[in-house]
This record gives sequence, C-alpha cells and structure tokens, in this order.
Amino acid sequence: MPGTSLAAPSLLRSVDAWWRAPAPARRLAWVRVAVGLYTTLLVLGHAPALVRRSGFDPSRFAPVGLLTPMGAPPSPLALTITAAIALLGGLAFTLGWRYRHLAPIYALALLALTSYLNSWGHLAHAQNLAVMQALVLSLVPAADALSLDRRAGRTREGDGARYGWPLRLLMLTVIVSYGLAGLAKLTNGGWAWAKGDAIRNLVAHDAIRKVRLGAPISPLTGPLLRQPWIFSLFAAGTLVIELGAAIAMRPGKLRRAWILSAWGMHLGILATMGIAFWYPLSGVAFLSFVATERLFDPLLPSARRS
Amino acid sequence: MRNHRDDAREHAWAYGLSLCVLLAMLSPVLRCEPVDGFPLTTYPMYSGAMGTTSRVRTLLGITASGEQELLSPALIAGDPSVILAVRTTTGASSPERRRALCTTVAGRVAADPDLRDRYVEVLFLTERYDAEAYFLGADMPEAIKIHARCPVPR
Repeated sequence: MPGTSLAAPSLLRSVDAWWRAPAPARRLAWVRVAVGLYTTLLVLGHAPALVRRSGFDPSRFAPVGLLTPMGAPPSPLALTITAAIALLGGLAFTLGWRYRHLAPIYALALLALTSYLNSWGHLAHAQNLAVMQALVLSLVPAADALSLDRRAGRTREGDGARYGWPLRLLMLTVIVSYGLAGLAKLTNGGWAWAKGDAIRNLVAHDAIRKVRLGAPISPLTGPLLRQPWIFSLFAAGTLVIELGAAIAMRPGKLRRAWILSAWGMHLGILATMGIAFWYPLSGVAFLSFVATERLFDPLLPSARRS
Repeated sequence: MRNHRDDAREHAWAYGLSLCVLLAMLSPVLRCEPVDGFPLTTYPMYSGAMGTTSRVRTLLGITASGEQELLSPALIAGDPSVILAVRTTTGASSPERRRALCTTVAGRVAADPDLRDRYVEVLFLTERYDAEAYFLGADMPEAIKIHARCPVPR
C-alpha cells in the first residue's frame, strides 16, 4: 500500500525516540543510590531471619529463584560469604565504586540471599520488585554521575540517551508488576472480584488466622470489616490502579496521580491488614518516574552538585 | 569519540536488555500453567475467590488447669513471621507430620524457661469460623478438629 513502506521506519524511529529519550545522568544515578541503600538495608535487616532459617529442618527447604537447582539448603559458610559479598557489594553499588564489575556481583548476591529467604515454603512478594530493579541497575550506566568512579575519572557522563531508556525500563518493571497483580485478580476471581466480597473474606480470614496463630492484627481491621461497602470501594480502586498502571508512563498529572494512588493503596493495605510493602511505601519503587535530580540535588553541598 | 559501532552496540544493549527483562517478568503468566516464583511472579496475593468459612490450623498450649492459650509464631514455626507459621501448620498435612510438628512445638515450649512450667501439653487443631460473623462478635469456633496432642517434655 502506498506510504506503508515509509510508515514502518517512521514508527520505529518514533518508538526509538521515545524509549531512548535523553535524561540526565544524575537522575539515573540518584535512583541507583536509593535502590542501593534500600537493598543493602534489606540485607542487613534480614540478617536475623537468615540466621534463623539456617537452623531450620532441611526438609522444609523449598528452593526458589537462584537456588532452584539446589537439592539441599546452602551451608552456613556459603550463606555467610554471600551475605558478606552482598553487604560490601551493596556499599559499592550505592557509592558507585568499580560499578561496572561489582554491581552485577552485588545484584546476584542480593538475588541469592532473597531467594534463600523465600525458599522455606512462603513467597513474600514484597522483595521481587526491589530485586528486579537492582538487577536492571547493575547492567546499565547508573554510576556515570554521583559516584566514586566519576570522582576517580573511571567514568564520565555521556550522551543523555544512555540514561533515558534505563529509567524507562525501571518504570516498566513497576508497571508490569502492578499489571500482573491486577491480571491475577481477574484471572482467579473474575470481574466479581471488584465487588469486594472476595477481598473482604480474604482480609477477614487473614486476620482470624493471625489472631489464632498468636500474631497481632491492625486495630482498624475489625471496624473496617464491619463496613462491607469500604471493601467494594477498595476492590474497585485496586483493580483500577493495578490494571491502569501503564498510564504512569506518560509524564505529567496522570503519572503523579497514579503514583499517589498506588502509594495510598499500600497505605490502605498496611492499615487494614498490617502488611507492609516497604519498597513502594518508602517511595523508592517509584523514583524512576521522578526527576530525582531536582528532588535530591538540593540535599548535597553545592560543591558536590557538579 | 563515539562512532557508528558504539551507537549500534548501545542500541542493541538498550533493546536487548529491555526485551529480556520484559519477557522474563511476563514469563510466569505466559506458561501454560502460570507459575508463581521468585523474583519472577504472577503476584497472586489476595486474588482468589473465598467464601465466609475460615479454617485455621493452629497449636495451643494447655495449662495444668486445662486452659487453652495461644502460642506465638516463633514457637510454632521457629520464626516470628506469621506467614511462616501459616505455611508450617498447613504444610503438616499427614498425621505423621502433624504429630511431628506437635512434638517439635512442645520441645520449643520446654526449652523456653518462661513457658515450660506454664504448659503441660500442646494441642494441634483446626478451628472453623464464620469469617463474616467473627468480627461482629461471634468469635468462638463453630467446629474444632484435634489432630494431635503432645506432652511438654520435663
């Protein structure tokens, strides 16, 4: 057809221009610093859990992630070495030191440790996005600014196109995560899930289970469960936020509205169910959508802003 | 100085990595049977349909006077995580495993200096509740099924 042979390359050029639209190196670098800090603290914070699990009966080991091929839990020595690599690697990742070589090692150590934490019969789902974003960041030029490598002259800022697509890829990890969660609700519960009965019963069941297993529940759980209409609103809102996550790719008011809504949803989950998804609640999950250099550069002494 | 080869390499890396990450994240749902895993997941949390009947497996400590008291997740699963306690109790699916879990928990109670003199026995049971009525005041179980009883070792 006339024009078709010209339209395809033009469309590809438009997609390329959008996907690889330039961004400041510092924007990606600040995301690296935040994700590095978060994931390093995650490793540190879970040290007691790692120690406890190393004492579990090996028959409880149900390997996932990087540990899937293993027939038995790793030895305490292997665990200790991996944790040490993760902590030192996390520091190097955050500070942007020898980034090109150490960042992927850190990301793998992080994946190994979080795989171990999730290999005892329960998948936490709260660490998946953080680990995915750390893996992505370890493979992109996220230390061309705000890094020890930059200070030492081992790297320098390049063309802005180098830093735009990694940010868009990080945004995509968020959008796909929320989209999959919405898809799971439709697949398993159908559109009836939006009425709220399913989530209300699940929240009630979860709360009863926690009470009868000697764990505390949110003080709001009981009062909220006595108001079924709240769960209809919550369910419908959750589906809109999760299935509509793709709107966040468009910069502007829609993006800001979506981020605030998603963050509010997690606050609601914390209030009603006492379940904290700290990665989005801390805001780190959404930093790729934000002009981080405008947010965080003012925190630096003026001499360090160049 | 950048050249055409550097640009081509960077293009290839940008699209190659992006496609790999996208396909990896979608892979759990693209399989014939969706698979929840780590870090690639279908995010199935709270997605299922559930009725108002709630069955809870738990272990209770029995005092010398016959009172039943809740035990903590740390005693049940060896970890303060309540979700691990859930998995531990639901994973005890055979009579042998239930007996073994009961014995293990009784051992943990015996090893706790604050609890060993408080409880004489551990009970492993399933309680059935009406989840809707529970938070309206009907918080007694509708039915109880005892799976195992184990003395706390002295």
